[in-house]
Amino acid sequence: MHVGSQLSLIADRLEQSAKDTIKQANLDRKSVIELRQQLKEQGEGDVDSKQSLALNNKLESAKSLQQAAPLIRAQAKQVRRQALEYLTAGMQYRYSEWINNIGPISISASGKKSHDGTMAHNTRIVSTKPALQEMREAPAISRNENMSLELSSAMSQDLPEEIDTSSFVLSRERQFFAHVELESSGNETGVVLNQIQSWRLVLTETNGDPVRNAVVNFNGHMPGHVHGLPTQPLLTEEIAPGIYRISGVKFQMAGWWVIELELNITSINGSEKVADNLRFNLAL
Amino acid sequence: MSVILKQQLLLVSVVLSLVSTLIAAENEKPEFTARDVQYLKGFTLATLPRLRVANDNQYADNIEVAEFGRQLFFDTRLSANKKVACSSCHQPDKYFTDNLKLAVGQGETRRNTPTLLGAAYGPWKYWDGRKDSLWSQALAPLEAPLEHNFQREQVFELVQQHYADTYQKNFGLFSSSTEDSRTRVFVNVGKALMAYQRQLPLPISRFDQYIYALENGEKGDFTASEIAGLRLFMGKGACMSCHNGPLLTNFEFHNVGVPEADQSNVDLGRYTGIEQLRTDEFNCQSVWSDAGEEDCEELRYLKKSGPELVGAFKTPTLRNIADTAPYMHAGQFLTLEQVVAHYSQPSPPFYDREQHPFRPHFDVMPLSLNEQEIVDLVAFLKTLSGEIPANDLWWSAPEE
Repeated sequence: MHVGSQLSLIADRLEQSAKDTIKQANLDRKSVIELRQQLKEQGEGDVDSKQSLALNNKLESAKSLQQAAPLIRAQAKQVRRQALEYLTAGMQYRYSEWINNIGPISISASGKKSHDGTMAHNTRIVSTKPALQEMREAPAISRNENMSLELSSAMSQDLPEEIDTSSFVLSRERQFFAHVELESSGNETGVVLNQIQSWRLVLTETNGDPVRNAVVNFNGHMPGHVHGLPTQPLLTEEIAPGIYRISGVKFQMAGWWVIELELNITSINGSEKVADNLRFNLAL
Repeated sequence: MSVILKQQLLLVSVVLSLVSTLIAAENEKPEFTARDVQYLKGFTLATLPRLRVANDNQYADNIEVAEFGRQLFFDTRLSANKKVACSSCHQPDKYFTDNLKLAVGQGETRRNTPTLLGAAYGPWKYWDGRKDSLWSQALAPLEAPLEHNFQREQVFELVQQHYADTYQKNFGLFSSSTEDSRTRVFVNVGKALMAYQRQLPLPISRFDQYIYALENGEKGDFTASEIAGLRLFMGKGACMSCHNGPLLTNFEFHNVGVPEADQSNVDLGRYTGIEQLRTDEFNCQSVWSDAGEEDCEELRYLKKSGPELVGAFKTPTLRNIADTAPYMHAGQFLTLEQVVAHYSQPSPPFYDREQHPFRPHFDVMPLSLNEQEIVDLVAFLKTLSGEIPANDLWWSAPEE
C-alpha cells in the first residue's frame, strides 16, 4: 500500500502540474493579447524586431503549454489508476480475512435481475418551485441485452459517462483508503431491495494501518433525485481494528446511488481531529 | 396484357407473399425474451418470499390465535355503537377495502381504507407509516373516536364476557383487573388480529398466470393493449421504480403530488407519521412488544428527518387495484384512468407556508402519455386482480 500512497502523491503533483500548465498558458495568452494591443497602438511602422520576437515567443509558449496540459493530465490519471490498483491490492492482501467481495456493490443476483441498467425514473431535481415547464421531459428508458422490454432508466440522463463503482476508494483529502461490502447473510451477497442489510467498512491510512475509533456519518442519495435512503444507517461496531459494521442500510429503488461517508478521525495521540469524506457510486 | 404489366403484377405478388411471410414470422416470434420473462417474474407471486418471523408478536403464526383474531375482526361489539367491526371498512368481498373515498366508522376519517392483502409483508402500517406492526396498528382504530370509538377497558370486558375460554387458553389466565392487565388483554387482541391478517392468502392474478404461461413457453392470454400496458409500466411509465417486487410496492414513502384533500388542514403524511411512530406506546421497542434488543431494525435505523418526508405517503400495493377504488390516501381519484392521467401530467403539491414546515418535494416527472397509452396502462393494471377465494376460511366471517 506504501507504493500506492506514493503514487497517489505523484498523481496529485501531476494534477497540480497540469493545472499550473493551464494557468501559465492562460497568462501567456493574456500577454500576447496585451503585446498585440501595444503594437497596434504603436503603429505598425514602429515595431522593432525585439518586440515581435517577444510576441512570437509568448505565442509559441502558450501553444505548447496548451498542448502539454492534457498530456500531463492523462499521465496523472494513469498514475492515479495505478495508485488505486496498488492500494487496492495492498488492502486486499493485508485485510484478506475481512474482505470477501472485491467487486462493486450490486443488486442481488438471486433477486430481481434488474441491475442491467435499470435505473430509477428520475435523476433530475424535481421540486415544486421551478414550475412544471422545467420538467417536460419524460423519464428516460434503456434497453438491455437480450431483452425486448424497455426499462425505465436514468442511464441516459445525468449519469456521468463513466461512473466509477469501485468498492475501494481514496478519501477526498487522500488521507484514507477504504473498502465497503455487504455483510452477507446466508446466500445473499448483493443488495436486496426494500430489505435492511448491514455493510462492512475497512478503513485504513494510506500506508495500510487501520484507522481506529472512527466516527462515521453514513448518507446516501440518488443524484438529482429528491429522496435519499429510506433509513438512517449507523456505524454500530468496530469488529476489529479498522473493520466496522454499518447497520440499517436499505434501498427502496434500483438506480444510481451515491453513498457518502463523513469521517471524523481522532489521531492516535488523541490531540488532533481529522475530517474527511469517502464517496462510493452504486449502480443498482 | 402487356409484358410490362405482367412483370409488374408478378412483382406485386412476390412482394405481397414476402410481406405475408414476414408477418407470419413476426406472429410466431415470442412477445418476450427469456430475459424479459425472468425479469417480469420478479413482479409475480411466484417470487413472494415467506413472511418474515415477527419477533414483536410471539403469537403471529399461531393458528388458534389467528382464528380468535378472525372472530374479533368481524365482531361489531368491539365498538361504542355496536355497529363497527374491522370488517366494516375492510370488507372481504371488496378485497378488504370499502370502495369509499374516506373510511367511515362512527364518523368520517381523513384517509382512504387500504387493503389488508399483502400488508403483513411491509414494515409500515397506515398511509403515513405511523405504526410499525399489524398488532399495534389494529389497536388504534379500536380507540379512535371516528372509528370504533371503544376503550381498552371495554375491550377487556368484552373479551372476558365473550371470549374468556379462547383467550385464556392461548394467552393465560386473566389477572386481577389492574390497568396493566387490561392493557395486556387489549394488546393481545391486537396480536390476534395480526395473526389473522397474516393468514390472508393473496389471490393469483391474470398477470401472474400470464408470466407463468410465458415461462412455460406458452403464448399466454394477454391482449395487445395489456402487453403494451405492461411494457409501459416497466419502461416509459416508470411505475416499477416504486411499485416493485411481487406486491408491486416498495413500502416506502413518496410525495407524488396528489391534490391536497383539505387545503385548510394539510396532510403532512410521513413527516407527522414519524413523530407519532417514535412516541407510540405500542411500537416495536415498547414494553408491550415481544421483540428483543436486536430486533426492531426499522425503528433503530429510522430516518427521522429529510425534506422528502413532507406530504409523502406510502406506496400502495397494486395487487387487486382495479377492485379497490377510489385511489390515493384521501381517495382523491375515483378511477384508474384519473390516476394514470395524474402521473401523465401531475401538478406540483399544494404549499402553504403557514402549515408546511418547508416546501414539499415532489417525486415524479410528467409521463406525457397519449390517450392510447393511458388506455393500455389501465388495461394492464386490471390484470393485477385475482379472484376472491370464495371458500377460503380466512376470507369469510365466522358462523354465528
